[in-house]
This record gives sequence, C-alpha cells and structure tokens, in this order.
Amino acid sequence: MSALEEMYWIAWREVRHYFRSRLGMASRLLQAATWLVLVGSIFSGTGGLLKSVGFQGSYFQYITPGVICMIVIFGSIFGGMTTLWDRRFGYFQKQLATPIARYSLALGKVMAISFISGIQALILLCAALLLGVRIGTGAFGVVAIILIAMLLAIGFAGISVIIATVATTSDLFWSVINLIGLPLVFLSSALFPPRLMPSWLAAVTSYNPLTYAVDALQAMVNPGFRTGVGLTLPVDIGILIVFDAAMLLASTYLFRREARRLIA
Amino acid sequence: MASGSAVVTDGLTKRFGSLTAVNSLSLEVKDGEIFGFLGPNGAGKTTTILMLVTLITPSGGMARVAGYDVVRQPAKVREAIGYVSQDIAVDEYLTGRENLLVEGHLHHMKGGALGRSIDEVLQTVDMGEWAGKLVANYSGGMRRRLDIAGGLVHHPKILFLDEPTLGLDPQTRSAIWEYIRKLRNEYGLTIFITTHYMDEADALCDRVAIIDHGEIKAADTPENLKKSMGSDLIEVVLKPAPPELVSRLCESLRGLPMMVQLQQKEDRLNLSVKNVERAIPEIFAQAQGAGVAIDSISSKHPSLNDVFLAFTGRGLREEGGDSWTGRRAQERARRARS
Repeated sequence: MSALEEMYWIAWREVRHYFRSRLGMASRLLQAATWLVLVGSIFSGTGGLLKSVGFQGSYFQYITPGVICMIVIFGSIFGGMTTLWDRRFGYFQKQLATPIARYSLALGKVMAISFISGIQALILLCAALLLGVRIGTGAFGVVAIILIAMLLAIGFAGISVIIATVATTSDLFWSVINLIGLPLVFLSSALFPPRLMPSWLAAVTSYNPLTYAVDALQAMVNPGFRTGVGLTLPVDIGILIVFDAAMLLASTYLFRREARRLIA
Repeated sequence: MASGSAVVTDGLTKRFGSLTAVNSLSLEVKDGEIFGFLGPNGAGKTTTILMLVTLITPSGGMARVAGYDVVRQPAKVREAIGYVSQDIAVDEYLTGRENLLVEGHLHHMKGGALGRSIDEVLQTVDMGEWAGKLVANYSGGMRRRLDIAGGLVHHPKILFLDEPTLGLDPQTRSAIWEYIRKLRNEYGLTIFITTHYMDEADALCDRVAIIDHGEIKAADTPENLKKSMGSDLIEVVLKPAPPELVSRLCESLRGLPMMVQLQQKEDRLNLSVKNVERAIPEIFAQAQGAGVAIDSISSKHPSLNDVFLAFTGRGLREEGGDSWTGRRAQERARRARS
C-alpha cells in the first residue's frame, strides 16, 4: 500500500513539527485549560436554564464536549496553513516532483491534523477531569471521545486544505478562516442547547456538522442527555462521516487541480 | 536509456498567455555530462527545467527525460530524476537527516537501504556532523548542500539543479561546484544545471547552451564557444624607442597571418589575434628584428561573457537588478499566475 505510506510520511512531517516545539506544547496545554475555565465560568450562571431542558450537572459538565469541539475546530481549520508555507518556500513544488500521488499530499495533511486533534482532545479531557468533570461512559467513553474528535477534525482539516488551496495568500486564508471559525461554534450546540435558542438559530444549527459532533460527545460525557430532538449516536456519527467524505473529496479534487496549474 | 541521451527536447515550447517563455527549444544532453543552461533572469531557464521535471505542461513540442516522455510518462520521469529547485526547499523544523528521511520515503525508498543512502549522500556533501541538528540552525550554504543531498538520496539518473549557487558566497559556491563534479565523476550522474553566472558555467559545465528570450543562441563546450569568438586579445608595452622603429614594427606585425586588428597608442599596442599561443613568439621575433625592446606583454582569452555578449547583444550583468529584485519579480509572477 504505497499510497498509505506516502500519506504516512507527509503526516509524519507535520506531527514532528507539532511535537518539536516545547513552548508550543506548553501553550496548547494552557490554551485547553483556559478555554475550559473561561467558557465554563462565564456561563456558569446558566445552570437553571440548563435544568429547564433536562440537564442536571454543572455548566463545566455541560460545556466539556463543546470546548473539545472548539479546540478541534480551531486546531484543524488552521492546519492547512502549512500548505501555504510549503508553497511559498518551494517545498510543495519539490514534493510534486517526486513520484507520490497528488492526493497523498492532501490526505496526508488531513491525517496529521486529525491525529493532532485527537491529542488536543485528550489534553483537554485531562484538564476537564482535573476540574471535576465526570465522563459518564467511563474508559470506553474516553476512547470514543478521542475518536469522535478525530472524525470531526477530518472534515474541518479538509475545509482548511480547501481554503489554503484556493486562497493563495496568507491574508486571504486568515480572513476566510476567521470568517467561519467562531460563527461555526456559536451556530452549533457547543455553547448552548439549541432548544434554548431562537427558533431560526436552532434551525441553522442543524445544518452545522459541529452540532452532531457535540451531540455525540454529550452522549459520551453526559449519557442520557440529548442536545437536540431526534438525535441518536448513529445519526451523529453517520452525518460526520458523510461530512468528512464530502470534504475529503472536495479537498483532494481541488488540490490536484491546483497542483496541475501550480506554476503553469 | 535510449541512445545515450539523458535529455532530448524537440521544439519544446511554453506560452503563458501571450508571452512565449520558451520558444521551440531543441537540445540534447548526453549521459554523464554536466550540461549548463546559461542565461539572464527571465530567459526561460526555469520554465524549461519545470517542463523537464514534469511540474508544468509544455504548450508544444516534446521532451524525453531518461527515455520517458514528460507529458505521457510523468511518473516514470519523476522516479528517474532528482530536482533541486531555485528556492532552497528544506524543512527548517526537521533535522537534516529527517529531511532526507521524508524525501527518501516520498521516492518510495525504505528501511536499511534508505538509511545507508542517507549516510552516503550526507557524506558526499560533507553534512554528516550536522545531520542531527535542526535545519533552522544551518547557514545558507549548508541548507543548499542538504537540498542537493535531498535530490540525490534516491539515486536518480539525472539531477536537475536550478541556480544552485544563487546568493551564496564565493567559498561556498566553489565547494558546491566540487560536490557537483564529484557526483558526475564518481556516480556517472547526468547533471542539468541552470545558471546566470558565467564563471559557474565556465568552471563546471562540459557543455553550455546560451539561452535568451526563450531561445537557444548557441550550444557547445565552453572552450569551443570561446574559440568561436575567433580572436584573443594581447597588450604589448614597449620600452622607449624612436617612433619610426615602432611604426616599422607595427607594419610588420600587421603583416602577420594571425593578426586581426592592431591599435597603437604611443608605447602601447593592443592586438587582436587568431591564435595567441603562436602570436606571442612572433611578436617577440618581429620586435627583435625591428630593434624595439618589449617591456611587458599580456594576453586575455575571450570570456563566456564576451561570447554571451556576441550572441545576445548584451552582457549578463546588464539586465539590471540584483538577485533580490529578481526574486521579488518571480514571486510577483508566481502570484499573478495563481
């Protein structure tokens, strides 16, 4: 399976970068804890509202899946940035002159971003445990949470590669990323149950893949609590897989097209 | 490889919109030679190399690299070549060895064979000691050496080097020339190199093609190209002598068969001759015969710069802008195209 090996080595390089910087590691740990404490504290007065939709625990307990999703989204959506750097410094061109498949380049990046997101989710989970959050489904749940986070990351890594491929300057890349990053978080059930939102907003959240990842994570952290009507774990996972597949297809297609007209 | 030709092109053409970057280029690079592509920035050198390494598609004509057609068999071409681009494309956040590890794997090498090959190429470019250090700590010359090592790790048949010594100091440049010669001599590698440095083409290349405005103006060994200029330059300074004796000397020198041109300015004679090695003894003999003593004599072969001047009507250095402005222009062009 030489295509898998190609992707592995593209991913290996990215993951190596991730672990190389100690300062980077430290800041990411801190970032996870900060998000959790900040978001958890700001909305801590909403316990009563949460009770009204059937949630019994603390806001920390409620927000943990949402913050995991935030960490994953921001991590993966920025991940395509390395594509821009590689192009800027001629590394991309050099890779294209090797016999590897074009799609290996795109999929290898996505693989790396997904793997790193899994690690980020694990870090955040550790911070949450320290803050007294209980994972309702136990050790199985922890593994499942990492896998769901990685599944979510694949789709957003795909989006990131798409934007990096289409936007040829980093300015454009960042403005598009900023345009979609935070709104995606607010337009989902990450911070608040849709049942407490205005109905038009709740309707929008059902088109956001993030909503389904949050629901799947809620099922692991707070089993028995559903963020939306008619959601089940198989539906959540199914929608995430369809989303991932669509983004992977789009990103590899665009990436190959870009590789062809790279310099021409 | 078919008929001992590493690279063959016929009518190779690349147009970007209304601009013809490479115009009906036909050339042949033989196995095991160092072939230099000499021309100013914007002459079409990089565009040609990009077509040969399959990164851009020709608008017309054909090119075969290592016996494979660049349009129909790009994967075969990529397996057979090493490509070292003008940008020093190494990963700063990996060590030297890790850079080579990634490149080797992208060329489908693995395990012990790759490990041995990495050790070997690191030694070839004298980077063994630094292999475990992060590239972020390397100097420009070291990065370039690592970059070249990356083009070698999979044992290609042909190595393409695009401006390999751009922006490097003279010491590093001559070291890199040494490595390139070593590759040819020890591994029989065919090397296709583009440069806008005359001395580089002169010192390094077995054959040189002069390219300007996307067309080849001349192609031959540096020696033959210079010889084709026809004449060498000699400057003679005479010891003080009566003017009529000097005039008589000039008359007899003009009569020599190898003489092309002679200019006299007081005690200074500037001669342009066909064959400097035979002209100098003749000049001495004639001076002795005329009773004039020679104070000093110096000769100068035409340089590739003179050749370039003759073929393109301008010197390489006259195009204006340092390499930095050139880079920026390229960057702009790249952005405009994408």
